[in-house]
Amino acid sequence: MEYGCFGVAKTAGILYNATDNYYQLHYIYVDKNSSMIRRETMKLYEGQKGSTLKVVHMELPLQTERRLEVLGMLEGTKITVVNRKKRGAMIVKIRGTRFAMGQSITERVEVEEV
Amino acid sequence: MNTKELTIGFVGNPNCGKTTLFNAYTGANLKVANWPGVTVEKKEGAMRLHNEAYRLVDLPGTYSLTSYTMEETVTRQYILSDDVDVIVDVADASALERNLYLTLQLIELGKPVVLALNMMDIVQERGMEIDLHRLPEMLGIPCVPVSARRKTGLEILIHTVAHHQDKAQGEKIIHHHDTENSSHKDAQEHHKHYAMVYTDEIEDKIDEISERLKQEYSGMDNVRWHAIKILENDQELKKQYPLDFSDLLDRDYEKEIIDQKFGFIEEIIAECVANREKKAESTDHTDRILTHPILGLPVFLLIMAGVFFLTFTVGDWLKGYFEVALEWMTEAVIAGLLAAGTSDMLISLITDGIIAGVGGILTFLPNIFILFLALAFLEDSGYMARVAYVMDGIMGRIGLSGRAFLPMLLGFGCTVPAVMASRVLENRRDRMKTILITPFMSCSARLPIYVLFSELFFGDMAMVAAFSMYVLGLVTAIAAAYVLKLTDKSGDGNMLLIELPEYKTPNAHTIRVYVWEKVKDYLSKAGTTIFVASLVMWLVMNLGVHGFTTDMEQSFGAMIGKVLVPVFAPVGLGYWQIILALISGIAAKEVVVSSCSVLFGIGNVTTEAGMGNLSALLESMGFGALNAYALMVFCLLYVPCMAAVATIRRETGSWKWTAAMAVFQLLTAWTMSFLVFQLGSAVF
Repeated sequence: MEYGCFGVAKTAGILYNATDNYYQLHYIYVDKNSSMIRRETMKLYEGQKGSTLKVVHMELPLQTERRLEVLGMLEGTKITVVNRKKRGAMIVKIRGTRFAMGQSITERVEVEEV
Repeated sequence: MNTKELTIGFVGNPNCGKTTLFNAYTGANLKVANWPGVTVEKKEGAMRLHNEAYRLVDLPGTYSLTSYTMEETVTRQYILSDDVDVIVDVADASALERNLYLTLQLIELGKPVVLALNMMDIVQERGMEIDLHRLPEMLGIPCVPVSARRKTGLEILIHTVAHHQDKAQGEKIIHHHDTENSSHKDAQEHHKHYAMVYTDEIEDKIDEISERLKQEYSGMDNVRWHAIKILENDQELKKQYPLDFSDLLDRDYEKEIIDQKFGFIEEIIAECVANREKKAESTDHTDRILTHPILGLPVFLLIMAGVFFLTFTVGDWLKGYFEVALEWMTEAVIAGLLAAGTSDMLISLITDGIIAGVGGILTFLPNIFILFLALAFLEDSGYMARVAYVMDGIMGRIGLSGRAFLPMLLGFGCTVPAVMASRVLENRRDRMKTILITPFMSCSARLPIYVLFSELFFGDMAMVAAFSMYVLGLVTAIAAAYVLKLTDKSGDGNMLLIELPEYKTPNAHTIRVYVWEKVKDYLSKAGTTIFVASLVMWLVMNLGVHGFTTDMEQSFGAMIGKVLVPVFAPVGLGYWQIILALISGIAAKEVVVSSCSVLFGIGNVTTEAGMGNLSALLESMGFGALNAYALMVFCLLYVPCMAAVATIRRETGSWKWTAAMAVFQLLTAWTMSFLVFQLGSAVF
């Protein structure tokens, strides 16, 4: 947990997105009265090397999403970040197989830490 | 004895070794690539075992049997047809988890399925173990361990197929999915008959859809599969059976069905695979360097430099022996023909036309052999696939997918397979862009031209001059791609998504097949296209308005070349012999070299003496180092060989596009050599 300079805390929380019916991991900024003042979604490309993350939501073109599905990457699937580049291209391990993914995919996949 | 031959369909994920296995049976030597989607056409073969005939059909590599892509639809329709008797599902046992998804779908189709666990040798190399007793129990189908590259288990697989032609499958011994907790009335029944049993809610839906299908279509085969597909909202089946299921399809069940399949797969893996993490670590270790965010690129460039060092130095050393042999042969032939009293014209045709043309090409065989050996090594080791990731950032900046690097890289070998490799790109736009720029990558057939002219004019700097062609080609390709990116208004990013196989020791057999294919290609090209081109060249050169002539000035070729001299003069190539050689180079790039040797009447052009002669001849014509460099640039960028043009036509499906591309390439080549020659003339 990091503290901002005006008594603002940054923490992680899972929020329910009622309109689209899914849960998202967010960074939530709360003030000292614990009321939320700002939130951020965590995207796959923010994942650190070696971390294991769970897919929460994918916002991809249908064709790409289909391909990911048949490779076993769906909402709820755990993926491990094997290697990553600065701009967000990644090598991830999904169900035992390595895949290289471009930034255009990793920045459109919402994840939460496991 | 059964006289009816059994048809076996080979199905599997891309990159599972299906093609290798297929070839092991049928004996066809085809390329084995580490890239998904190589098997696009339907391939057939035949074999006999114990007096039984079998027909083998190789289906496109696919991950699933939905109807979203052509490959999937083709595979599914073929399997459902009566043509195929037994399906052999080829799975990469070293990545069983991903491969089993297709297996579960195939089992649901209701045809006899035999699972071929390929790459069992890799499984062992990695210290993994697969429970071959439990796996068939859980899947309800026979599972046969094979290794296509070691050729083990092949006979047993066919034997299993022969004994597994009936649709009725063995009783499953499946204790998966908390059956105990299921309250479904048919839970026990389901587990007896189906490997894949879904949650109660889904099973209820399947039952309801099945009921309606049975009522409406009484003769339907495998109702359960149809019901599952309709529940998955499969468009093709819904069209085929236009019943209204909207009351049942209240939400998106497809994802749930996929997820539950993968859930079952996880159970299978947990029960049947031991020690799977062990060797994956070594790939992780290697990847830490080879795909390192910073180190990855220099390592890649180093590897590429290594490939070229091998091609040039080792290749040239071997080339020396070829040249000696060729010279000896030419002399022997001349002596023999003279002794036999052959006419001057025939001797000229055989030595200047045929031996000089085709023989000259053969001496470059070592370079090409080593280049393809290196590429085969990179491909089979699993590194080639990583290149797409390493290059993704750079390629993205010029508006190309990281994937496009593979065709571009292969372009250094030969434009024909490179253009074909552009199939790995998902959308047509990317594919066209890649096809457009791939011919700028300097193919190995252009190498003889660089070698000849850089050695003639650049002495110690020959290797640098030749290498600069590769860099220039790359830069031109990048510039062209960048211009295309700027004009592209659609703006959606490229989606890099490729599977990275685990690293492995390259297999000698795979490499041998790969290299042999390329060498054979090169040789047959030398033997046919180049033979014909050399012959035509000799005719154009030695025939004129007055018939056979030894004076080149009088030939038809000289006439064509002379007409075009004004066009080529500004780029430093205003010599009719050179222009004629360039025209002949459209047949095949190597022909430029053989044409030069014929046009300048030097039989042994690649030897030191021959080079000296040619060099002196060219210098006397005012053709210097700068002209030579302009020529190399022109050869690099102008229209690729006929085989490549034909391939481009096939892949783009448009003559108009192909013609436009040829014009674009000619203009690019002319402009670039113009710049080189004029700027060069101003500086020196």
